[in-house]
Amino acid sequence: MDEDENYWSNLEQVFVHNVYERISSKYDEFLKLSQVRHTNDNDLNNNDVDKLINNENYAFKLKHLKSVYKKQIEKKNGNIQFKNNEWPKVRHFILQIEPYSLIADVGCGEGKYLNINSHILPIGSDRSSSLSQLASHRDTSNSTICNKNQVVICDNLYLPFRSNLFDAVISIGVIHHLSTPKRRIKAIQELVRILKPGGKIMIYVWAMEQRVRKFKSQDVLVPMLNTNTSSSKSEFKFNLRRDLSNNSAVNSEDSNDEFFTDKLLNSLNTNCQKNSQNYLDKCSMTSRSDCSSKDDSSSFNDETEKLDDQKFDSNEKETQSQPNTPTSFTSQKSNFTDLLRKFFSQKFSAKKEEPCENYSNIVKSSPHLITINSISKDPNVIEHYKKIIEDHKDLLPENFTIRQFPHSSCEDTFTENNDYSKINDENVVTDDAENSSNKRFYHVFRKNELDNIIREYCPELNIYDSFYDHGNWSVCALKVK
Amino acid sequence: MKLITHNMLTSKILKNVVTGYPLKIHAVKAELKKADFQPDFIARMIKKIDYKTLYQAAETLGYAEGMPKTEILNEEDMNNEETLKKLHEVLLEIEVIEGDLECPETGRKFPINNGIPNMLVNEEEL
Repeated sequence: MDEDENYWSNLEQVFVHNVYERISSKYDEFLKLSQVRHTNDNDLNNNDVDKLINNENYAFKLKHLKSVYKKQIEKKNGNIQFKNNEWPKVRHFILQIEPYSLIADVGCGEGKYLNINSHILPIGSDRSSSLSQLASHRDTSNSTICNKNQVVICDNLYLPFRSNLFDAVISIGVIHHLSTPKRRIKAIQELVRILKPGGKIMIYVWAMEQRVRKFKSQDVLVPMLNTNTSSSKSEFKFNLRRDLSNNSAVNSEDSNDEFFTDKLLNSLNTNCQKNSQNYLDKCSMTSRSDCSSKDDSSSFNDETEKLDDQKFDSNEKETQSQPNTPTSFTSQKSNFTDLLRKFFSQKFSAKKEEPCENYSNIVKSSPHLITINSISKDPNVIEHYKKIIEDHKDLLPENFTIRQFPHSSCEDTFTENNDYSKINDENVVTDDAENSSNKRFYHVFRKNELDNIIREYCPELNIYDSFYDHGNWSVCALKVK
Repeated sequence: MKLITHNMLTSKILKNVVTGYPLKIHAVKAELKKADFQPDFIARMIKKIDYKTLYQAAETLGYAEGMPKTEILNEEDMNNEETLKKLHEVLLEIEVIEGDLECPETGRKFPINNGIPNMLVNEEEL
């Protein structure tokens, strides 16, 4: 390894591997329960969605929605729950794999894709030993083949597997954590090496082109949790001054203090997938008012950008017009309820063709979500807001949480049940303040970037599908015989 | 780590290692845990696995009895249900919980903890 490689490898160690280790250590309690139930088969199906849409009765809709959510969540010892948040297209890819196949999930994380198809043998691998533990301890009772998940701790750049072996390989939200083009190419080539000729591969990477979030650069540090401390900022400057061969300077994301209600929106969205393919994905909002850096995405030119602009415009306006004080909160209590009602009813009456516009309207007509973001620095306000949620939790899906931003394709999925106020508990916040570097490095991919890498550096792959999904670019390819 | 996983692992990632295969197993703790027998799966896996490696691994752990003692399985073995059942046990029921995997060329040991082999290597070893 040369000096540069060492530098980037260390950067990934600090801004990817260490962060994941910290995240997974918070699952310890979870791990103790050992047997994690994981339900896959209770997704909202088309019939359910139709019923929801056709029925004008709002109460019915909510009730139905809640029961669907109940089905999705299995509780263990009454206080831990696990939400199923797979990307539907990944799930579909895995379900399509021929029975009795051997597949590799490289960067399997906590193993959420390991037990989707009960007739194949998956071998998971991850750089993080704690996440590997979680993956290995998952419930495998639906598997007809193996009684324990097979997981190997290893590095995507140096996979310890024989060549031409796996019938399928998946890489979901992994390649974007590698810090140089060379390393990303090598990682993909390793995936291709272990894939057998005739085998299929699916790769998901986070996209530069997000509907809500604007990245200033392709190489970014995305805050995991609230890391709004001075130490974190200086550390970033120190670490990121060094910019090597590629033009992309690494920028720290400004939006350290974002506060999100996207759990609700996002989980709803997952369920609406089947109903509306073009559904908006991460319905999170940012409080960032710095929208001037459009030059970064000048090459990007499709509807998502327009959406971005729309949202940011409204976002900015509202943020500025709302005073940064908690005084208006009492009056917001009822408004928030209204907003939720509105959200639910619009969500389900939304026509296929224009789901995003619908959502945009909601954003514009309801400043509260945005206000929440802009005043979230004040802990009293946060408490107040939590209380509002608590008071209205009968209106919310069971697993609704206010979540501070770490919004990524690798979203973690563990929440405590029945105690919404605990979601951002002191524990987590303090922890986070101590670990001032709870930001993850991402290289966010531009449109066609992944395809181009594959075309140029993986001649044995034939791309047969390439698409944008939930803020990610994805490629499916076949290894030629 | 089940032996089917072991069958796929190499230490070729190490500097100057030519094949790094098969890795020697040093088991401190191993268990046998029953799993459903899927003859079709085993029949398909036989074509993927390196039989000689599987045999050696089973022998190391004391489970080779009943396995055809050969380098490559013949057609007859592949259609013999008893053989398939034995292979099922060896591939999917034996679990190495604690121990090491050793690179056959360099002697570098990769720990297995809690059933998970750790194949990470240091930068100097690459």
